[in-house]
Amino acid sequence: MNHLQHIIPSDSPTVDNHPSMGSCRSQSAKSGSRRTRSQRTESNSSRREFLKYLGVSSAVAPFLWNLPEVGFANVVSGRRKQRLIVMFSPNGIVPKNFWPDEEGGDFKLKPILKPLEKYKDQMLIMNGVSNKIRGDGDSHMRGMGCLLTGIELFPGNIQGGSHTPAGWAKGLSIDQEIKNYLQKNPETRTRFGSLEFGVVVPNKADPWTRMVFAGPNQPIAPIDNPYDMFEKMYGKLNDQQTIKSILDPLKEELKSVKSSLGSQGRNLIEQHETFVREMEIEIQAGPREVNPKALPTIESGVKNENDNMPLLSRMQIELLVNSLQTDMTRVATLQFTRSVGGARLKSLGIEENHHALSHESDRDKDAQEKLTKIDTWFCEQLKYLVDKLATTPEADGSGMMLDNTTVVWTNELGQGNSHTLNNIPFVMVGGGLDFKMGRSLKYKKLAHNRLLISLAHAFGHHIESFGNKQHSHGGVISELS
Amino acid sequence: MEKSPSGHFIGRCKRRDSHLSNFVSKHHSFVPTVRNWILPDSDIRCCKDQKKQSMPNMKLIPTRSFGLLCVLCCFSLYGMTSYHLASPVCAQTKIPTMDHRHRSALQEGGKIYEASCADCHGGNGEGVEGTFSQPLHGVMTLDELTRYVDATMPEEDPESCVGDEAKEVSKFIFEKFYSLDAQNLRNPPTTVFSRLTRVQHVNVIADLVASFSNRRESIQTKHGLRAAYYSSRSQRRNNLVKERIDRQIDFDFGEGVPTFKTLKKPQEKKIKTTEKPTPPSKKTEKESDKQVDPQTAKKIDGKEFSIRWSGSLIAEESGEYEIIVRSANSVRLFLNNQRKALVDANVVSGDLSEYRARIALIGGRSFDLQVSVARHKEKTASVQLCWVRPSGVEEIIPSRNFSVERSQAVFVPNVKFPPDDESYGYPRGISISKEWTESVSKTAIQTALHISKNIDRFVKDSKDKVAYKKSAKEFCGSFAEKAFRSPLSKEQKSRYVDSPFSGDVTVKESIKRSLVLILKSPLFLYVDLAVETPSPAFWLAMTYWDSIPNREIQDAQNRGQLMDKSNIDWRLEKMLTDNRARIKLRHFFEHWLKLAEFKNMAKDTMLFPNFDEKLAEDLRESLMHQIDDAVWGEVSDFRQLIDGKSWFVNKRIANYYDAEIQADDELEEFRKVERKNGRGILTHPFLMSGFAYSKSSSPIHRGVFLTQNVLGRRLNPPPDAFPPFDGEIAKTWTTREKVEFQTKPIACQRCHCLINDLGFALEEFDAVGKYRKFDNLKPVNPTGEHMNADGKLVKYADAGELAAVLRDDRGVHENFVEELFQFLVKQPLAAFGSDSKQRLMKHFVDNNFSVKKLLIEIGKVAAFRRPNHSVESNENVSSQ
Repeated sequence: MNHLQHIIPSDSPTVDNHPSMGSCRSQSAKSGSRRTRSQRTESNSSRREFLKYLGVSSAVAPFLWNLPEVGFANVVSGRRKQRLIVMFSPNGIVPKNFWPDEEGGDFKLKPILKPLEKYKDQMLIMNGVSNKIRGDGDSHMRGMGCLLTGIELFPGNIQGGSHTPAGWAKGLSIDQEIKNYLQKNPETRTRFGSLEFGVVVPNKADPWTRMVFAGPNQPIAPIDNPYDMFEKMYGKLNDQQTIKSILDPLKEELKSVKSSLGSQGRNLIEQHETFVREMEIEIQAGPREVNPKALPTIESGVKNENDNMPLLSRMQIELLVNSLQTDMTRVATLQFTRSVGGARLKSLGIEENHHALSHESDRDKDAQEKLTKIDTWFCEQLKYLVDKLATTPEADGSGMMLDNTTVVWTNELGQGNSHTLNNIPFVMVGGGLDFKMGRSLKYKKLAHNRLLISLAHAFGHHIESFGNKQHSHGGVISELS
Repeated sequence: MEKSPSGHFIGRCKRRDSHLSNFVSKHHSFVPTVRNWILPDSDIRCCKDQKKQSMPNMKLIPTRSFGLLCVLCCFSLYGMTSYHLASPVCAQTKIPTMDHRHRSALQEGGKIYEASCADCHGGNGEGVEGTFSQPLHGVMTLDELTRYVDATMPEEDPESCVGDEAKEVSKFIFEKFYSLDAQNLRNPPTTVFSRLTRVQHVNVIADLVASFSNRRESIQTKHGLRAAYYSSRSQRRNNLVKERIDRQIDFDFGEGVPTFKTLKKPQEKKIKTTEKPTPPSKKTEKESDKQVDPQTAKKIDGKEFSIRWSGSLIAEESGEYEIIVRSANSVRLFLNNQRKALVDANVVSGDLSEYRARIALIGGRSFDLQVSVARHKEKTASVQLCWVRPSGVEEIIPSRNFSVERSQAVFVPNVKFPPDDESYGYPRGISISKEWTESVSKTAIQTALHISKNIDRFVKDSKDKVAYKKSAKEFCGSFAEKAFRSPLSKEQKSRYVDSPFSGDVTVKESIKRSLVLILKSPLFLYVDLAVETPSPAFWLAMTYWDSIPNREIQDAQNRGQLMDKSNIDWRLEKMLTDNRARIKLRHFFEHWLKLAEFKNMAKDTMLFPNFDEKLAEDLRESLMHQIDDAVWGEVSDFRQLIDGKSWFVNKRIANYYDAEIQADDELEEFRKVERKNGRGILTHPFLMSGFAYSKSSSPIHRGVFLTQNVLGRRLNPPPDAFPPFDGEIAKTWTTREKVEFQTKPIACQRCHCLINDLGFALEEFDAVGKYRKFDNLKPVNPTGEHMNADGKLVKYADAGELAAVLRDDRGVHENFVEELFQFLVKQPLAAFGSDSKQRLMKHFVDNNFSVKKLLIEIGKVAAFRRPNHSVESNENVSSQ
């Protein structure tokens, strides 16, 4: 007979059709129309992603625990490996010291971009691109939240120095759009899909501090502590090494306690020994794409604070290049502080904070000089990154990483003191996108949505519009490639 | 159903096995609550005597988890009677004690057995292959056995053994090997070599880590959260408008702002900062309200305001909780971490208004909580704090889970452990699996990572590398000693401390390796290992807290103060004031009263329109209040539990059950009031509703519960499943009449003559536990009778009289003592000396059934009479 029959009382109503089943249900019904944001831990979601992409359900997850979650080999396809890095620095730039006077292939670099002289023929400088997104939020907020999303901010409670209060962006950012596109295809799929690096980003979640969005109202926080990033990249592998190191003494201990036990206890310990042996076999049999000795070495004990900014920047860049080299991701962002960022670059002899300086008038020579120094420093960080990419060979030996990587350096404003969203700096370096490099281009108020669309197209993702439809009009900028 | 003796059992076991595994896989956190098993008598013996090591992996499947779910549990005979003729005898016969033994009768019985029974059943009832292979072990009482033998034995000539002869031989069989006592005597239960249970595992880890800081576990304090209301977004002192205690966070101000009946000067109160917890204000709200000078009072005049709630969140169960914050405004929530927000919704954006986050918490602990909400220009203002407990549904966090005291952070490993074995009726660590070893590894890694990330808190920072390494090693050594509950031998020190620090690795990595090795070591995982010297402090902490001793109790042991048993009661009493002990006791009562099975207590909406989830939740709390009052109140008295005349009601319950409560009481506030009808917890509406169908009462569920869990009698499972009887002819019948009709067959009556009467006595309470005089328009007949543990027939006219009978029933007391002991200690009571039960019983009786004192005595038995690990195992601990 069927034992299940005896379990369900025949006259017991199901909870679902019980109208008085409590306020909780009605509350959730009330809020059903409203959106929900789930704040999961990074590791949880990335693990789920990892499992999802492996095509296994969470039910078998425990048995995968011993696998190092690193370096998935990708199937080599007809299309070459392409990578995109977006680097952000805040508060606009000093236009006269930034934009080349000339247009076309023959141009001279101004002081701020001077450090990139070596890469001039691999550069694309785009003047005249505007962030045309209007609506709620001050310029710094829209400059940040709409920079990569190309769409308005929701109305909200965060009040800037001007304009109306605002919340998060209404859509996802272009790096995430490209990530999703790459992750859909097994040939371009990577373990993380994208990594978000930060350098001295204030520990605050607000529209000035987030430029990457996974979707409407879904800001992604950059990881600005190199040790946290290392943990994210290599934690599991490290843990496995630890487990491996303790197996021998553990086996000895199990053996030694066994002798003093009665049969029931001994049975249990013997079972335990079996499991330890199984674990050992699994660890030995696990995939080993990455030699633990090849892990990036980062300086230890560096505190995550303003004064260590130069050092932290280098550490993050090391990790960023490493993550690309090991193909953990092909899309990355590197965010220095935030929009309105108030970094104090004491190492340059500048005591004032960056944002305060950016408000000074063009006639203030001292401020202009200091701002130029700061912007030049950011350019040097870009150069450090580009240098690394230019000197690191691809894992498969097919040239250098810069050949397949484009770095886009951008900013939330065109100029700090005017808070303009016109002439936003967009400087690209590297050969990741098949753009014709070595040019200085000049446009007149070209909507930046079109540039975002062009980035997607460069990956083979042919979208017609991105973010605001109206500003997407015209689509891809054809003369880039 | 298979009929052959052996095949019969195997078939059943297997089927139930797959059934349960399906169930477990569906309900991952399912914790079976069990005592009775779908097993033949012989297997019940294995469970109970626990000597049977030949079946270490045998899965014993609970019927208790089915108990409530069963539509109609028709209990009938198993074992012998299932293939001999069933005899119409009733289970109500008395259970004889050794005092009644007559030596001569026994000798006579032995002779008869030898002559007429031994050929088929073996010299010691062990069974004979080919004739009757099952051992003669079972659950029949002596009386039943006698009648059974009289009627059916020996098989070839039942008439040859009747009357006195049958009596004598039955007595012999019963006392030599058939009864549980006989089995215990023949194979005395011993403690079972166990690992930490999952509850113990997380507790011990949390306390190990905390033992290197000065975290203190909280004791019960005022419920609710301290709230501070400010007239601006910035929470500066000069903006403070009001401080008070809020019971829950569930406010909808609409387009308005918080208003207060009376306002008070903020400078009258000390304002706490987020860094330094201050004791709660001693003034009650009413007192402070009186001192308000309306002239100087502040108020929230603009639209802008903010509120900060602070205190602790008390978790009742361990596991992953989902925290849900709903607000139209800016909101931030910090839980168990004052630095990093769990919910950071400072930004209001679009229609975003619900935020969810997950966090692992440990039952019996308090976790620092701070919630801030601020309104700026938003049109409306509202905030609500809900959670989904690991085993629960979404609800607004009840005030009993808030404490006004703040807490220090506690480390909680977030690892899912497989469920523990509960085949003995209480969770214990007697089996391991690959999944378990992996959970252990994950926990070890998480713990080691937590420590190495916060290494400054554990190892003194030093520029001198040699000194730093030395103090790191000292830390690992001390961690190992605490984890292993014993000083390290030379060899152990080398294995756990020196070798991880040798080789070319950083100090941080060495610490990690050492800690992972310690936390994966059998010396840590198996509680019986490594305790070479008697460690009463450890066993006391395990018994009361499922954890390791705190500094105080450990120091007392180190100073030898625990050995002075005339002067340790106060220490044990103090241990019992810890929240962890309170929660463990609550878990015991939930287990004992089968409350875990009361989920979705949905009632028919036509018949009981206002019985909703909220009321059910309140009833549960009311029951818990009643239990807490009887256990921890001024007069701790088990008998009060059974027939106390008062109960706890809030406004909602009072309205529904027509109880009297002061009109000005807050809705949620519980008050102790006289109960008009019904006494004790056994007639509490929560139990009555739980042991009932959605439309009608269920005398069978109630009766089975009383028989098994209260009287401590064992019942065999029903041979078959039956739908509840509801034929056309029964339209005008009462529930009692229907049950009587359906359980009339002789096979049913053996168990149901006991079950039914107990259940019928509670017929005065309908499906929601409301008192009634009529059922289906006929007067309720709540009369009944049964044979008590001393073989006396007791009669009762109604539930009140039944409660009076049960309060003084020896069997009820014995069962409670044993259940409580085993739940706390996780070992069989009989393993602590064959006289342990009698000793505890005597102590219980001598101390007017004080549960508190019983708990203390159980602690002493667990700590000082533990076999193999105690030098004083023979000493009388009941030296009051």
